[in-house]
Amino acid sequence: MQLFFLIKEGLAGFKRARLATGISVLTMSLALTLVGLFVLFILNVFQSYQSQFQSIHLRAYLSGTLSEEQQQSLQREIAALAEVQSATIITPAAAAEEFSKDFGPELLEILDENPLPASLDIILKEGMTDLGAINQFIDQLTAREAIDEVSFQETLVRLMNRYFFVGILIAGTVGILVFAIAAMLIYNTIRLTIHSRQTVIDIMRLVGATHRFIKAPFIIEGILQGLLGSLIALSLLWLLVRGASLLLLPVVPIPLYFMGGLVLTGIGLGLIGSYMSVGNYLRL
Amino acid sequence: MIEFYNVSVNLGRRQVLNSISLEIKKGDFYYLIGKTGAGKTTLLRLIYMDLMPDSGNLVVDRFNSARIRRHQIPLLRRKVGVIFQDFKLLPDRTVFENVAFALQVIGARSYDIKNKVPAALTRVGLYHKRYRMPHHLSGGEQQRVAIARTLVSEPFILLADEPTGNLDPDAAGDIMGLLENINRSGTAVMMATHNYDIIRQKPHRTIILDRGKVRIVGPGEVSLG
Repeated sequence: MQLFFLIKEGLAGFKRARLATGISVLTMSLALTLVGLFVLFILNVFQSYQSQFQSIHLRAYLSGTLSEEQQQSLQREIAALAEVQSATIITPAAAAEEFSKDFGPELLEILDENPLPASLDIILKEGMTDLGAINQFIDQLTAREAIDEVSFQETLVRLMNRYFFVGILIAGTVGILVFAIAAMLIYNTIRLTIHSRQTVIDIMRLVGATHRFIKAPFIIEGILQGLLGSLIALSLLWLLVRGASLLLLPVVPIPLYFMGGLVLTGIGLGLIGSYMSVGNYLRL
Repeated sequence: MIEFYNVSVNLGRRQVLNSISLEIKKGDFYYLIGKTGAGKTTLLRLIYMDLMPDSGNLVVDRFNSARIRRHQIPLLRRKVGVIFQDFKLLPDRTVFENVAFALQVIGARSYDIKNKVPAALTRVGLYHKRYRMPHHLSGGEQQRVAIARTLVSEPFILLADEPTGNLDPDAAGDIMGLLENINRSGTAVMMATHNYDIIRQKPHRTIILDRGKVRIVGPGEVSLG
C-alpha cells in the first residue's frame, strides 16, 4: 500500500505541477546534452589523436638505381626492424595515382614522364611517439645508400607531444566545470519544482508524515525526471552526431557505455538533486 | 496532557514568550487571544513542535520538548490536529482525497482509509460533497474539510489558528458549532482568534497573551474593551 502510494504520488507529481516539471525535464535534458556534447567532443579528439599516434607513417624515398628485387629485399629488411610495424612498397605508378587524387591529374599530364620515385610506406610500432627516437630511426634509414630521403609529419607529432598533457588538463578542468554547471542548474530547477509544491510538503509535515515518507515521492519524481531528461538528451546527441556524419565530418558513433553513463548521470543527478532539495526544505 | 514549564521563546531579538507556564487537560476548550504579534501562533507552534523553546520545556502527551528526537516529531503530530485561516487544502484533489491524504502519508491501511474518511466527512456534514474539488466549496465548507482531515487521525487536541478569519459571520458560527461539538466528544480545542463576537457568543476559558506573559480568565470574563 505504502510503496504503491509513494510511486503513485511520484508519478502524479508530473501531472500536478506540469509546468514546473516540464521546465525541470527540459533544463535537465539541455544540461545533460551540454555534458554529453563535451564528452563526445573529447572522445572524438582522443580517438583521432590515438589513430594518429598509433600509426605514425614515414615515407622513405628510394634511390632510382634500385631494381625491383632490390626494392623488395629492402622492404623485407625494413619490415623486420624492431621499430617497424609494417613496410609497403609504393611504386612510382601508385605514387602518381595518389598524387593525382590529392592534387588533380593536370600537373602530371604536363610532364612527359612520371617524376615520382618508388618509396616505402613505413608504419611505426604503437608507442613509438617520442620525436627524438623517431629522428634517430630516420637517421639510421637515411644512412643506407638505397634510401634517398625520409619524410613524416614532424610538426604534427611535435605539437601532439607538446600539448597532449596540457590538453588533458584543460579538457579535465572544462569537463568538471561543465558538469558542475549542469549539476547546479539541475539542482536549482528541482528546487524550484519542489518549492512550487510547498503546500503538499507543509500538509504532510503537519499531519505527521515522516521525513522519509515526505521525501520518497519527490525522489521518485526526481529519478523519473532524470531518466526522461537523459533520454531526451541522448536523442538530441544522436541527431547531432547523425547530422555531423551526414555532413561527412569524421565523428565516431555514440558508444553504448556513453549512453548508459549519460542515463545513469541523469538519474543520479535527479535523485541527489531531489533528495537534497526536499531535505533542505524540511530543515527550514 | 499539555504542560508548559517556564517556556521562553525569542524570535530574532524579540522575546515573544517570557517564562510561561500553562496546563491544558483532556477536553478543555480555550480561546487564545492577544494583539497581532503577541505570540499566539508561536504558542500553537510550540505544541506541535514546529518550534522549540529557547528555555524551559513543555510536555505534549508523552513527548517532552527537551528530550524529543527529530524522528519522533511526526508521531506527536499524528495526535495533534491543526487548522489554519487559509485552510491549506490541496487544490487538485477532491474533498475525499484531501482527507484521505492525511492517512495515506502516515502509511495507513486502505481498509482504515475507507472507513475513517467517510466517517470524518459525515461528522463535518460534507459526505455528500466528497467528490467535489475544494474550489467548488464555500470558505466555511473548505474549513470543514480541513477539520475532517484532522479528525481522521483522532487527535487529542485540535489547534485552530484563526479558523474563522476568512469566513463570514454565519460560516464562522457554523465552524464554532462544529469545534464545540468535537470538544464535547473529548478532544481539547485551543483556538487563536481576533473575533471577539465569537468569544462573546460562545464563552469559554481564554488565554490572554500580553507582552510575553499569559493570563487565563474564565468564560465571559474577557474584558473586550
